[in-house]
Amino acid sequence: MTRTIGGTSSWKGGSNPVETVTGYFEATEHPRISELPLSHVSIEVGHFYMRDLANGIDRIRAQFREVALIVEAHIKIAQAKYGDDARVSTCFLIDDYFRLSGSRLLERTAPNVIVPKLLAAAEEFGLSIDYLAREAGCWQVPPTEKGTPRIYLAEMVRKRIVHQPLRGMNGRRPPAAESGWLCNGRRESEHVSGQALHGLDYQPAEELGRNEHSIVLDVEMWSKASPKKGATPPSDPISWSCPYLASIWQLLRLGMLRFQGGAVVEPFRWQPELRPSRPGSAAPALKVWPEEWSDWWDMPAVLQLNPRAKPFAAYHSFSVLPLRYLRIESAVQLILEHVRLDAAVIDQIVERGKSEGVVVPRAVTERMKHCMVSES
Amino acid sequence: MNPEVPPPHIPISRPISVDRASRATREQRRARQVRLLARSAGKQPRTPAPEGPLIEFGEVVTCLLPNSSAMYRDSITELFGQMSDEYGVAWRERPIPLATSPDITEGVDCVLVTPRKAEMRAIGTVAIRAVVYGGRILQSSAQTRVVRAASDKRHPWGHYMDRDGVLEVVSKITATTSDDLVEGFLSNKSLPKSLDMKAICDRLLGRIRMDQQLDQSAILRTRATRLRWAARIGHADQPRLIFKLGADRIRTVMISARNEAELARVPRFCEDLGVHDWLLTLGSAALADTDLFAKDSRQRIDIIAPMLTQLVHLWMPGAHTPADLSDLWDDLQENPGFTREWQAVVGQLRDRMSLALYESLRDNVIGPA
Repeated sequence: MTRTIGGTSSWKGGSNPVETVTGYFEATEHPRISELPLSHVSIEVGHFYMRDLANGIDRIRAQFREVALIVEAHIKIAQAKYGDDARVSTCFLIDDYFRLSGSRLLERTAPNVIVPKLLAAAEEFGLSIDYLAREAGCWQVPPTEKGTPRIYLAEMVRKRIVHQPLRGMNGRRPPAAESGWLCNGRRESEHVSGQALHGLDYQPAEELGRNEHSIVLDVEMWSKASPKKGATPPSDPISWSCPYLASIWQLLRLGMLRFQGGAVVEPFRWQPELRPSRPGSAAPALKVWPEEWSDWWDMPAVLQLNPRAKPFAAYHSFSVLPLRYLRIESAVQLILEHVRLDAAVIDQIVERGKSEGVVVPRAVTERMKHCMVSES
Repeated sequence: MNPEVPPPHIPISRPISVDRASRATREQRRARQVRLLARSAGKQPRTPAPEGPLIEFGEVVTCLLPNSSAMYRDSITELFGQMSDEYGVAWRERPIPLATSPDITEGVDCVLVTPRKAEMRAIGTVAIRAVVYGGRILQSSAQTRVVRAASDKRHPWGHYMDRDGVLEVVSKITATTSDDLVEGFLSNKSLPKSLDMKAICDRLLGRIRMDQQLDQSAILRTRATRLRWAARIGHADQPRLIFKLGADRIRTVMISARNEAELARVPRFCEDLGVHDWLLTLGSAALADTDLFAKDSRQRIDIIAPMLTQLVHLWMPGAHTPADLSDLWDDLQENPGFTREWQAVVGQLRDRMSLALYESLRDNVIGPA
């Protein structure tokens, strides 16, 4: 099936625009979609809840010790697959959306406290973090100096969710897009109202498109939130769930999102200023945190820490996560199966891969790999 | 096969002992399996079913944008923003401004109507988009392409999400399925579980018409028209069409295209056709409405004036039709003669306007003292 680049408006099979408008052509007819620089693999090097980051360093060190070895092995795998000059970038997502409230804790979770601690622990095990991203950036991307406006990313992706139809859903009723829940099947009948009175037979839950037996997942993508007091980012009436934001995080890493044809996030290059820890001492220099980033909310969505880092987005993503994220990642898979991505963007990335000899599956869920590490 | 003669491998005499009885049961079961297998083999189509898309069909609802002034690119981009933020609109300026929204899709798992009662189950998505023509006319256009499914099982949802506006038929397909689907869809019959494109189109239209950007004061009182179309690949050396004007503002169009690329451009042609059919319908309705009022009445002018000043210039059949389908317009210009009819309507409107003007002036200039 051929598709026009940027041809979201020309239904399937549209060919080269020049063939359809011989002699006369308008630039605005097919919105342009820019290409993003791509690595081969984007590796996520672990994840912590904010309370882990706020407390002692031991937990962080223990995780990074194990992760460093996994990352090293995975870089070797990438080199075996794509050659010695395989492009691999590493990233870390900071959990700043679900922040701890209370001023004492807010102080302990400020970026100038957390980030140096985190980076020092990573450095200790030779783990290089190329990009540092904020989870709240998956909710809203702050405006940049280049003049791009604030992008309401969570809301934007929400418009792309296509609910899965049960058997008999013929378009008459609107898809249930309001509830914030996404299910991969039919829920069990136990809670159907009126059942107790009429004595209907119990119907077990059923996964649609299953293989023999069902695994029904019911994922909450968002809920109506009560406004938080004293929250630095203006409070949203919607509280987005962790799997939902993690799905957007995956889409960003896989280069699938565009805003007005361009990239949604452009990593902000940050060169930390170094200050000797003590005059005349041999201890490594401390990285000075900029004043203007005293709050997460003021920071760019993605920081580039390593000036020689390979591109942030990649053909494939690999995430090393603590074991308790297993369920969240299955929920991510389910959500991503329901997000309608732009065919033109998919085509673009598949074609780019082909020209480089990389096989890129069309389904975004097939481009994600995971490694779960135990936490003790 | 003669039912009197049992298949040779079934023992005719019935054994009595428990052991042998169970063996007989086994044999019976096997015989039954053979019979079922033979029966299902008999059900297989004798001629191979067609490859490629079985049929592509859709619906275009056309109405007036409920706004007092024509809309331009920026405001249409905002209007379509509720569907998708990312791109705004595909915009064509000449010869008449044409704005097309990005597609949205809706998932369905339903049956398709066929005349022969065979239940065709189809799973997939319907693609829907909004079109604003000339900043005045709003369309909601849904389409889907029906193809055969690779297996008779439903896949996980991700499979269907990569195929915008494609329905996969999981029921059995025969050589006549394609014809049956065309007939079933255009017959406008519906079963409780059959695909409801009307509802899908109307929902999008409703969403856009209620947008806060629109001031809800339309220049004229009008009604929507609904165009249902079905298309498939035919064998003629040029694309063909059958256009049927139905009662209650429903039009049906059957198109046969030469190849898949042409098939993919049929929706655009049908949107173009929908606009011009709506204009013609509106023109004749306006003429009928003016007959209700006195020839120099204010009401008459209130109907004619917005038609002449705001809508007449939008007549440009084929302007946005893909080149390889433009032959279809030639047919329609020949019979019934779209432009001929339009010229007659507009001529009448102008004459009535001049007459109304003359009547009102005569009263003032040479009227009774």
